[in-house]
Amino acid sequence: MNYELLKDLCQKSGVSGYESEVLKFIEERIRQYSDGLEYDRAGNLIAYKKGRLGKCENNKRILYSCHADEVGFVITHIEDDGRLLFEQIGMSVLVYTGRQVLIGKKKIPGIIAVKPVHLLEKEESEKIPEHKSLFIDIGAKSREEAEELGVYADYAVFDSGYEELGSGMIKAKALDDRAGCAMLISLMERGIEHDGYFAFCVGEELGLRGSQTVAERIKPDLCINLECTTAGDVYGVTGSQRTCLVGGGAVVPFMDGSAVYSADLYRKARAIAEKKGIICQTKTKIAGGTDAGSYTRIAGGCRTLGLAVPTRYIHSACSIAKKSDIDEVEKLLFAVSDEAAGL
Amino acid sequence: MKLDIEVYTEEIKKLYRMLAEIPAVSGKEECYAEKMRQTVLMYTDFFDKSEILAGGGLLFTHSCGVPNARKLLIDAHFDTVGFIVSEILDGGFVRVEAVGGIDRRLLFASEAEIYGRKTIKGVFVSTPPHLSKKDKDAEKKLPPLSEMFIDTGYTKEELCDIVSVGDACGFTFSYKELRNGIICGRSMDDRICAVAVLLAAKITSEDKNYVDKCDIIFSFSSAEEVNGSGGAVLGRLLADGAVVMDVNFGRDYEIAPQESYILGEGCGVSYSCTTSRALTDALVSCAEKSEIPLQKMVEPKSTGTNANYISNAYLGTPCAVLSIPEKYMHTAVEAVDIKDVYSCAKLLCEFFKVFPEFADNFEKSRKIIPMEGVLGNEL
Repeated sequence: MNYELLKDLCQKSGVSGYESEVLKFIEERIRQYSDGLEYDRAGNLIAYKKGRLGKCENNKRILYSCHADEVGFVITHIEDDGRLLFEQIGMSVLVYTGRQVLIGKKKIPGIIAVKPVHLLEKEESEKIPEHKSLFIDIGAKSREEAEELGVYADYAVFDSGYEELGSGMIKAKALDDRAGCAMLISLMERGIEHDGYFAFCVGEELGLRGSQTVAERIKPDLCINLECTTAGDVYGVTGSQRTCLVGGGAVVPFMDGSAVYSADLYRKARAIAEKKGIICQTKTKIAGGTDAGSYTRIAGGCRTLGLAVPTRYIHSACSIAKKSDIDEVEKLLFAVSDEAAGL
Repeated sequence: MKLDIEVYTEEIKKLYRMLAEIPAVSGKEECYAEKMRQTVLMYTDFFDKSEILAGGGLLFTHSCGVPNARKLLIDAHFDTVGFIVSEILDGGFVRVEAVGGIDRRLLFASEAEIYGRKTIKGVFVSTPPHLSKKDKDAEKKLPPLSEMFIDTGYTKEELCDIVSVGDACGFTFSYKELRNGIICGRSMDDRICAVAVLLAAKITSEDKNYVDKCDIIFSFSSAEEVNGSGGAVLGRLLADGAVVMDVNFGRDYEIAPQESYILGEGCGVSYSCTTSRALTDALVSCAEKSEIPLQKMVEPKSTGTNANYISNAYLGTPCAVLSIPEKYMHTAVEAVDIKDVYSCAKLLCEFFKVFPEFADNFEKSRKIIPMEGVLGNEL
């Protein structure tokens, strides 16, 4: 994996509905490797790339898909005293209280603020804050001051650096699904055997929105969907409840909350992994949702394979993944891609 | 631009009354589609084509005559909230289920209409609290809708000849004008938006300076209040953009500023992660240039309108949401300010003029390397 690329991608902003910054970066990066490139009518970035061997037999259409959006916030209101009210996209209140954020293209810093612990009533201090009690403080003293900065209706992302952690781990925001984006870009750079379509979807975190129009646009016969998936392997959780393990290799799911993946592709992908000595695992809980939910359902539905990076604290400022897992997913993606025409 | 509203005030009132007279509780649009079609076509000759879709939604098309012209979709929904008869009871009472979001608190002893073989009137009743001995606190509790009945005044035998299970019921229509240009009545949601669209169509058709270079499709959609199927089918039109029109909450005590508009201060535009920012910005800048008052709201996850469905159906359609502020939504006394209806119509008229250029630029910006021969490049 090109970790410089992953770092760049994670540091771009792309809250669902506001993906232009990250998509522009990807567009510029993949332009030279694309034989067709467009934003579709719903804003998804779609590339077509010719393969070394040309089209598949029967003109089978292969789609590689990931999502470009990330969880974050939208400023919904400015109070007279300059505080910003906001809505969250894709998160629990637990993970954003007290965090630092960056607002909009200008990356205006702000804090998701709470009352100091000293001033809380005993009962209050034991409770998870309610979303409606929170606001973003950018230091503005008045509505006018905040308005002038253009923050109204703008987005905010976590202000969280991309860092190496412990032994071979990465901590960053938006690993979900910039890791997927990075792998598809790498695949385009490396080249493919048979013609393929590459989709960088918008609005996944709003309920698999962008991928629905991609499915209609491409009408794929085979889809390989790249994701990050929740690893619950933290202290105290045991057995299947962990869902998948950081350090356990590439995740190949058979089913999740949104989709039933092709059992045939699941089996074949595992066989390819075994042949190539790629470490992989599956999900031990049927949970979460991915764009595979769209691809298996819309425009006739197509056989879909999921490949995912096991990731801890996935919808937060600090998601953690292991480089070796990312490398295994990328290797498996390349290997599956080489054989995709026959799958 | 000065709002020459005086000219159109009476027209807005009259047109609203014409449209709101026609009941079409979600699920029953087909029964009223032809009548609504005639009503619209009688009002304006702007549209040269009209059709009734499966589900009873209506589609009116104004063709500009230019080949491959841009297509602007304007959506308002045809259906309204109401009730459906679930059981005919002894004594001429009728039990109903809600269609769409209904506030049960307002139903006690209120008037209703049942659209059976003929339309009959009735009154919502429930067991009077002081007769309900079992529960001393009954007066404080809101009974479920299944324990509130419509008293029709007929005997059961007579009633069975008129009403069947599955027939729709609605609020009776009692139009009132309050002070300061506020009008009230049923089904403002979403007939008042249709009023704005039709007024815009009429003004445009009478505007000698209008340069006709884009097709304008008005969808009077079915089923918005229940499942959005009438909006979802519009994806196939492949419009270059859609302005989705619906009512939104008017400011009232207890309703926060960030989730409401002030009546009389102009129509509202929503910013949402589920709509097109480019189209929304185009609409806002059009209003600013034309000095048409506009209020703003941020509804990140869902606009609660047909835009939720249209934006994502088939290949996707860039949507913007334009609202008329309304108080007392989903009741028999929905209230709007005529000024907002008029400024909404004005904005649409101005937007018709600038839309083709927006659509050209938007398409140019999204096509980077042609997909020719791979995917349909025209899409």
